[in-house]
Amino acid sequence: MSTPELIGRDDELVEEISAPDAEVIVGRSPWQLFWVRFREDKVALASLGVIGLIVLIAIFAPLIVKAIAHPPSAEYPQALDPRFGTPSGPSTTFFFGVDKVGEDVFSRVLYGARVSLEVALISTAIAVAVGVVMGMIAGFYRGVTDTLISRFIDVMLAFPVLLLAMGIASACSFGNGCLHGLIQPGVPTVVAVIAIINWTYIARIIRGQVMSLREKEFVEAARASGAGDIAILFREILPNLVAPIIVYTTLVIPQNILLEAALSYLGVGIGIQQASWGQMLADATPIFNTAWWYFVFPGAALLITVLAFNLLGDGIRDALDPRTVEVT
Amino acid sequence: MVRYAMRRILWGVLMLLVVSAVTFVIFYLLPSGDPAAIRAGRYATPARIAQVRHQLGLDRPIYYQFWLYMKGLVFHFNFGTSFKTNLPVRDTLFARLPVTFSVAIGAVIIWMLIGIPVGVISAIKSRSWLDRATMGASLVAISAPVYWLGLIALFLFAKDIGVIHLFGGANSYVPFTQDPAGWFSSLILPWFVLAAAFTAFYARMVRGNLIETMSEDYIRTARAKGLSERRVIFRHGLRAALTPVVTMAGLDIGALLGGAVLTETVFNIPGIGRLAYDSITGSDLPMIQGTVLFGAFFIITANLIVDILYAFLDPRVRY
Repeated sequence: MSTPELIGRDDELVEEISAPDAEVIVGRSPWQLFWVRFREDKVALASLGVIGLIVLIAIFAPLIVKAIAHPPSAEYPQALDPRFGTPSGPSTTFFFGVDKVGEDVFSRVLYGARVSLEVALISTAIAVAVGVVMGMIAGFYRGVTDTLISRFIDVMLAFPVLLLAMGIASACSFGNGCLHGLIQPGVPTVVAVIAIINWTYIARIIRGQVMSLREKEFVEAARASGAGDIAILFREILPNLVAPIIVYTTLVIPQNILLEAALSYLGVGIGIQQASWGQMLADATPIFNTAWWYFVFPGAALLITVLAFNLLGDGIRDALDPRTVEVT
Repeated sequence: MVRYAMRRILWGVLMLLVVSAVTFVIFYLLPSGDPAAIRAGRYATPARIAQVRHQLGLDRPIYYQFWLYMKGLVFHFNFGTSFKTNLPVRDTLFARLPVTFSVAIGAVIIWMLIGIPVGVISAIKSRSWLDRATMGASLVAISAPVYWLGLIALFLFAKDIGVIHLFGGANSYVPFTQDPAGWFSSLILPWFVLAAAFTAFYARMVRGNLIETMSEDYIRTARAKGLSERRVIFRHGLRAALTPVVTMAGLDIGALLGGAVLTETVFNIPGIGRLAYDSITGSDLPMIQGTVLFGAFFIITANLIVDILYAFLDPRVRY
């Protein structure tokens, strides 16, 4: 073998280095590493599958219902007991039975997935966006800005979550909604309430991360090469926050699904126009001892959805190196 | 120490004032509807609504309303008057407090007594079959809506309508001073239902903390000097692993004293949580506002106590 030139490729040398018995070392991006670890986690993969299924059900609920069930808001008095007017249980026509006015519980559970996912995903997205921006500003500028934002977060966290949500939702649920009609009663109010309650947690996490990131060499390098604050925040720091943001988001979605359901259960949620799981559980409460199907199925749907998101969140956190991502 | 405590208390008082102000914004500035119209009732004449508006002071400028509101809160502990019962909100809240306390105390005992041992066993037998099973079950408990668990518990075990007639059902709450046995029986189901998610959460937290603690150097030292594994775990490991648990418990108790809204609602227990629910149904804004303020008061106080205790136990905090 001739001595290879130091610069340029020498096929013979490459061949020698990657000899059959030597282990091939491949460079992997953090995302490849994440995927390799995540792929091993069978529980997380299964929960991802379940979530995919629930999303499909939510999207195609009208088609499914049209094909095999009854419209969600149509009443079928013939399904009620002719003497007492009590609803009938699961059967081949009504898979999950009917509720007290003769509506198909199966269809309503399917449609409930839409409301649940819609509200949880939109409110989480808003909360994360607001929280990340506020956290980045507080952590990056420090000083008075940080004090103002952090103390405001302290105040928000001093409120009891559910009571605050009930308070805002009820204050917004009469008249023309909140802020002179900017936030209408119904879905917008619930989304706003959940977002208001949630942004504080993510802002705190992001603030802590940014405080240490802003001292790193790559930020200094960017500044030395003339980058402004905005460019540093969004081009240099934000990409490094992707992992904690993803972990936090997947862990907070199930909580928000539960919060939406709880608000609907308490009567300050979406309202009765749309079928939602929490609302169904509230309606089922007065007659739960005679119509078990009425509370079992919506509750089970809620449990499965929340559990799937929780398992997925755990899997993603573990795969994204738990040591560097501290989410408590 | 005293200086630190004083500073924390002052900060707590300031927090209370700011929280009151934010509550004012939520209940006086956010709504576009007219509280006077709610107060006056459905069939009130415009003249009557105007009269009510004047009574409530809603026709005054907003800063003057704020001044009256803060003055009432700070000097007279006045939370306003209920729209529905015409009773002072403060008195109603205090009357409901023992009930909410009853609900909270039992749940706390249950989740501490079950959650901590389960977490310790899971940590010791980490990655075993038992650990996986309990951690899986705990995730289910965290994911289940508490009011749904309540309905299932009532359906299965309530004395009046349950499959097995075992414990008091919904509406069966009696004060401890009237009938201790009845009080206990009526609260068993709510206690376990409320404690379910907390138990699971605490078990997971204890497990995580203990596993992390057991990889510390001083644990290796303890093992190296020949201590029994039992002693290493209980004397050295658990002590450090439980500190955050105690902190967390303090904060959770504070939050629960503001009312376990969902549990009290599903079991129809007349505590502060149920009061909040009933007030929502009746659009009783001063009452809802009162429960929010009351809840915040407990959370801030719990935070304060935990912080001061912490500083007392760990001098490093007193910077």
